[in-house]
Amino acid sequence: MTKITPVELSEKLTSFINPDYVISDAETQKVYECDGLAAYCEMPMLVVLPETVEQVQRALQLFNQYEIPVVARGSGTSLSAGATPHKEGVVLSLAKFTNILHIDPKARTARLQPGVRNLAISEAAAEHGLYYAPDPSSQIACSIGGNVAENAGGVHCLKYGLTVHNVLKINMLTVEGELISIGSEGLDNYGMDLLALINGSEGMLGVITEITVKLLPIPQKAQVILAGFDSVQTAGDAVGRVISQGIIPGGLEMMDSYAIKAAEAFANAGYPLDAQALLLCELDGTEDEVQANTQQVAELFTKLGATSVRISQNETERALFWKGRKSAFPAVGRLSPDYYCMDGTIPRGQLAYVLTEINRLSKEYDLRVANVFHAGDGNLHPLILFDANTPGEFEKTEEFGGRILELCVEVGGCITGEHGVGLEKIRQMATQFNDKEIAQFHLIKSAFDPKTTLNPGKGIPMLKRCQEYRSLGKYKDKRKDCAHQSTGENHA
Amino acid sequence: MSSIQQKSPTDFKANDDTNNLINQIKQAADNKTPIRIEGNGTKRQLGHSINSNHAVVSTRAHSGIINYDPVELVMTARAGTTLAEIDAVLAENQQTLACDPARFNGQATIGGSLATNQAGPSRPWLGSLRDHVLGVNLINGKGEYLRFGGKVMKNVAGYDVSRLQAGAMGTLGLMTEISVKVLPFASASMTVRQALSQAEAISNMNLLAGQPTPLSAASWVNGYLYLQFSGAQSAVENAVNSLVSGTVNKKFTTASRKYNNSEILSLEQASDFWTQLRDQQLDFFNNLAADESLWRFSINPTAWDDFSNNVDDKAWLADWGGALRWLKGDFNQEKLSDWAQRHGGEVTLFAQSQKQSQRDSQNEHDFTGAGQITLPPINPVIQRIQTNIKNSFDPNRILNIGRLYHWS
Ligand SMILES: Cc1cc2nc3c(=O)[nH]c(=O)nc-3n(C[C@H](O)[C@H](O)[C@H](O)COP(=O)(O)OP(=O)(O)OC[C@H]3O[C@@H](n4cnc5c(N)ncnc54)[C@H](O)[C@@H]3O)c2cc1C
Ligand SMILES: Cc1cc2nc3c(=O)[nH]c(=O)nc-3n(C[C@H](O)[C@H](O)[C@H](O)COP(=O)(O)OP(=O)(O)OC[C@H]3O[C@@H](n4cnc5c(N)ncnc54)[C@H](O)[C@@H]3O)c2cc1C
Repeated sequence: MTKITPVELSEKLTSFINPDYVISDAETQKVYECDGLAAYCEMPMLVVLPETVEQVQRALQLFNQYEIPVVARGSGTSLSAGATPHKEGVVLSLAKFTNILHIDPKARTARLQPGVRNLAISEAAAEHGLYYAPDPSSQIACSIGGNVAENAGGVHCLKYGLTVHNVLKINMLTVEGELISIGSEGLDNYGMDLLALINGSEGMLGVITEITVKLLPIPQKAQVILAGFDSVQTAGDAVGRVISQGIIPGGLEMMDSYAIKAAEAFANAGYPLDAQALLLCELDGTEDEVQANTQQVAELFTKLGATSVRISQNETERALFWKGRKSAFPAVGRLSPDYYCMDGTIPRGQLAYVLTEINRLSKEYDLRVANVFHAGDGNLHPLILFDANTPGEFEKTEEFGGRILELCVEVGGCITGEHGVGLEKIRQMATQFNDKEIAQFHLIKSAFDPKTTLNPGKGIPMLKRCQEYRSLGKYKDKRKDCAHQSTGENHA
Repeated sequence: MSSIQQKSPTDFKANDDTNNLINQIKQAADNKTPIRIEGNGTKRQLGHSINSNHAVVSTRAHSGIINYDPVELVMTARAGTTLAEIDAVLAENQQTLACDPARFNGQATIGGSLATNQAGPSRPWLGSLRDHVLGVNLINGKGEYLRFGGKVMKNVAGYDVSRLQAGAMGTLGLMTEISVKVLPFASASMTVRQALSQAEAISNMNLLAGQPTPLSAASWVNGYLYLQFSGAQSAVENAVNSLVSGTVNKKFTTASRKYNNSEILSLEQASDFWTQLRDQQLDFFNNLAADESLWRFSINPTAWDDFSNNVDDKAWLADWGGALRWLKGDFNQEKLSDWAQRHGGEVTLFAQSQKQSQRDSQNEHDFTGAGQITLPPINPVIQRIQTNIKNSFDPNRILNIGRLYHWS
């Protein structure tokens, strides 16, 4: 295969893409050097911002011809270094694709270009009494294409599902630039569920160029209960009790004392500063239903020893209660030069144990941690506070983070609930999966991308690296329920 | 509601056949002898039939719930466990599967149900098994025992191999264990039946689905629109009240009552209807005339035009709020295929009349064997990707060969 220089590539691209949108100078490229996880930076060979699907298609054909690595990019809010550039590759930004192509209020769907911001969908659907349910905290910025690529979640996913549950259809360009359509306007299709593979595929299987999502009717009413508890354990138990009453809240979030203080200082939401744990429980549905459920949950919290219980009295107050939670990351970020957000999921019953262990590790590493938790579905976001300017501190932070992820796997959970593996958690993949499973992932990738030029080095670790990681000695197979694992190995 | 009883794994009937299953597949892989995976063999019209010379590997001896934690809302069962057994255990805690797959007289297994991604009338609101599977353990065509996903609600590490099994009909591996999300029973449920034409019903179903009501199923059968509402009692009652124009007294009862063109079904009537629809036991499915074939459309729920208008209502059944349509009669397959595509979806020939079979045998359709079905056309790029995926799981090509497509 012939090599191509950046200048030659740039010339070829500018023959069909506006030259302003083919970026090769370091200064303009700088904003693309990282995503939301700024600890990982890399300058790409080129950044290109096509404006039409045909341009993306031609660009991909060109990249494929020269086997140039391609990193698709939406809004760059990934927290796993999924959109970090490849130094010999191209950043393919979908930022120009911001059109809402069609909203069908009768069928309750929206057809979108990949660069449409998550929040913009609900804003546009509102006039029809509809909204798009998955609501990542980054929803003012993140793109629907990035949401599909990460299978993003949000505070309302407990009741309304993740991105994968709310996407009907996508159009995608393969690495060779072939345009395909996966899914349909119906609900299930004959054959293998490729749509399920694309959700959460982190830009490694194709470039998503159009998405059709489901819209839901806006609930008549939503109300939030804000409850303080004097221990994380009590709050954790309360979460289990709400759900076992047969009530599925629209959202059920928890914060620890450190996160409460940070969020309160930031948002003035009226959070109880003396509480060790805070629960935010949103109930939605019809007027009567919400009224009845709110009453029931508030009483339950009180009975279980909540130190304070407040119920939002109007929409402004509801928004205010959420504001603290939704701005928890930047709020915690203000307390420290840098923070590092983890994303493990655990069985809810393990919460107290896991938080105790995290506290122990926090002392061991001498790094502070604030915990924000999608409590209803067991998705934990410990935020480790550190200072990147202190030599060695990021490395220490990363190691601490890695220990938290291993802990999650140890109790039967996983290393990432919604942020993806990216570059960041690639080593911990070896904790959650054995070599045969990882080999199977590589084979799935080759089914789409035989030359592995789509977002190379992300998501799935090289087998050699897994072995190295495990041989560091910190790793032992901690996976629960490994009853048959040895059998599998023997037979393989 | 009674308090939740946590069971320990020893409470469950244990019947672990994993090693045997691994051995059988490993042996088949070594000898390159194709096999057929079978749960309870309740499958019928689905997919292609497989060469009956291929040896059967059955999950029947691999059954039992392995883990069920009502507070976590997660249950893990061996693939050969019947949905009936699962229902019974969940019901002890007033819980149920988070969706409503066909039970087929209690015979359907969780493995076969996920492999075929069966979903009942509540599909648009409660989702399918594909939506609620959290993790699977599977033996691929090399005899490797692999675990994907987990027992937690959210997991985006690696590709979603668990969901990929939904609809793959066992062509990628034999699933041995499946973890799914479960939910508490809805506290109340009411079904309203209204005499309406199909055209009116399609329009009403879509309108209603766009409003914030606890709608949980909407189907039109034989001149009646059936609407099921489930959830908090007050919400269910309100929804029903506004449908029958406020004439119902607020009290929720189990008896059936009539109002103008509407009727509130008794709990028993409602339960019978939805079960029969879900498990395809209604007359519509069973009384096919000799020259009638049965087609299944998965399409845009609002689909309605001259074609649908011109075919007698009696030939149709609309489920999933309009997104699933059944049509019986003697039709030209190409025409139906065009119609499905025009409405953003696809059609499969579900049961074939003799006449249709003779006609099809002269055409270039994708079908084989006795359980012949005609499939939606497949894009060549997608066919290539699916073939690659198949080969990645089953390089020796021994698992359910020809089941999904003649080339898979
Ligand atoms: C403050 C903050 C809060 C957050 N809260 C949440 C949260 O609550 N829930 C949650 O799930 N996430 C959250 N995130 C993470 C992030 O916002 C999501 O992962 C989001 O889905 C990323 O979207 P993006 O458009 O920014 O994608 P990018 O960061 O640009 O890209 C992410 C990945 O998607 C790929 N990609 C992007 N577009 C395409 C495309 N069109 N085709 C193929 N691949 C593509 C990229 O290659 C990359 O691998 C948060 C992030 C921040 C900074
Ligand atoms: C009256 C009637 C109507 C039906 N209508 C429909 C319909 O409309 N739509 C529909 O999709 N199905 C339909 N079916 C088929 C049936 O729904 C499913 O096949 C059945 O629910 C699956 O359960 P089973 O245990 O009998 O699986 P089986 O019938 O034994 O197997 C079903 C498929 O799954 C595979 N399989 C089974 N177990 C596993 C496993 N552990 N790992 C991997 N693959 C496995 C098998 O190889 C086979 O391809 C109908 C069946 C009947 C009797």
